[in-house]
Amino acid sequence: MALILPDMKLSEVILHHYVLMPVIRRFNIKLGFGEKNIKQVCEEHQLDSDLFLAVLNLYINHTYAIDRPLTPTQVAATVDYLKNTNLLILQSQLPNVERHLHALMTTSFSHNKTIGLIHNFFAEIKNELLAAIEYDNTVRFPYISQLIKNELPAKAELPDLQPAQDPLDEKIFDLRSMLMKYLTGEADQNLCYAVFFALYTLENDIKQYNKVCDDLLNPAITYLEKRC
Amino acid sequence: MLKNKNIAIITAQHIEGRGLRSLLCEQFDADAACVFASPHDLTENESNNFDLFLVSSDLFILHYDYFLSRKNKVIVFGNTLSADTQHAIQPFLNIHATEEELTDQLSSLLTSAIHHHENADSLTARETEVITLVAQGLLNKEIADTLGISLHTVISHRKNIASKLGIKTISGFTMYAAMNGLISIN
Repeated sequence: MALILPDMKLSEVILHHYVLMPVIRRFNIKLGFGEKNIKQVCEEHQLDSDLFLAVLNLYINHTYAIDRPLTPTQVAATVDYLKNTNLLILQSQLPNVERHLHALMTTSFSHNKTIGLIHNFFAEIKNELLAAIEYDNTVRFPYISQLIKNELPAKAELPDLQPAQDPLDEKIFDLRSMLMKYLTGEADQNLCYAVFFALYTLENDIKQYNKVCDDLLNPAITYLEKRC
Repeated sequence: MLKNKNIAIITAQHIEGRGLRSLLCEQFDADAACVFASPHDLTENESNNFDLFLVSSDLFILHYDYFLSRKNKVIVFGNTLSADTQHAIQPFLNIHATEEELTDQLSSLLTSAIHHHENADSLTARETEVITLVAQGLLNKEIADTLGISLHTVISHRKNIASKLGIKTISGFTMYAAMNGLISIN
């Protein structure tokens, strides 16, 4: 399927691109949308359909033309979407990787030290991810909401997040490939697969998160800052 | 060819195992080949120390899970009939053969098994040195000084390593080195 358009049935789009399931969840769309098309679903949920389509298309690597920069309302909606993304990472994705990894440690670490390495690498990734989310919640998002309301003190600047050495999604990619290529000795293969897929989902979501920031949010922020 | 390699020959037919072992000793300089009646005779630790497993096809199927996690190191042997039943992608040695045929088969199976195992990443000796130092946390400049090569050379080594191994981050390098025994796990 090519570009996702407003008159397409949401159900058909999702059936075709199941990776979009978490995306609609983050837009607070519940299942049970029947035969409605995207425009109708958006109206029902009071979503900006342009923004919704931009995010969906970005997720499957298409570019949906949207007026840029985003309007302040669209910026606020994007921030809400990103907040939900972070929340889901904290509430379900991180615990998911950890649960499987923990089980793997319990069953295999005594005779397989490489599992311990994977565990430690993930702990490093997790700390960086938590710091990035904390930065979003305490610094970046409040800054953006002030910016939208035009309440920023003159010459306010967004302090930078302490830059990590390497992007998080690339670290997860490396962890995943280590798990796949160099895991030696015996380890529960089911659990290894579970860890692999959980990591893949997390990596993809972080990648998509960054794409939404780079392509949609950041240009709008720059524009709003100039307006101040 | 098999000097210093730990080889486990696993078969319920002892005489078959002894025969294979003497063939490996005479023709391929194997000096550490042992015969076992079942994988259960091996402790976890021993299992992980073997470089190569030669296993009869019936035991391979019976203990499939055990061998699956070591499949890169496994050669299955049996007669022509068992060749059909065993997992098609596993290297197979047909033991209903003359000594000359056996030697030929073994020679090519061993070459690919050992080559596959040792050169899984095919880093050059220099690249291995560089990645070890990267994993120890040295900066490019320090690596250049330690190895007595130019900074430019270090950078190009790192690029080559990254593309050979498909690793993108420094943490990834460190982990690669630890998992492959280049640096100590602690």
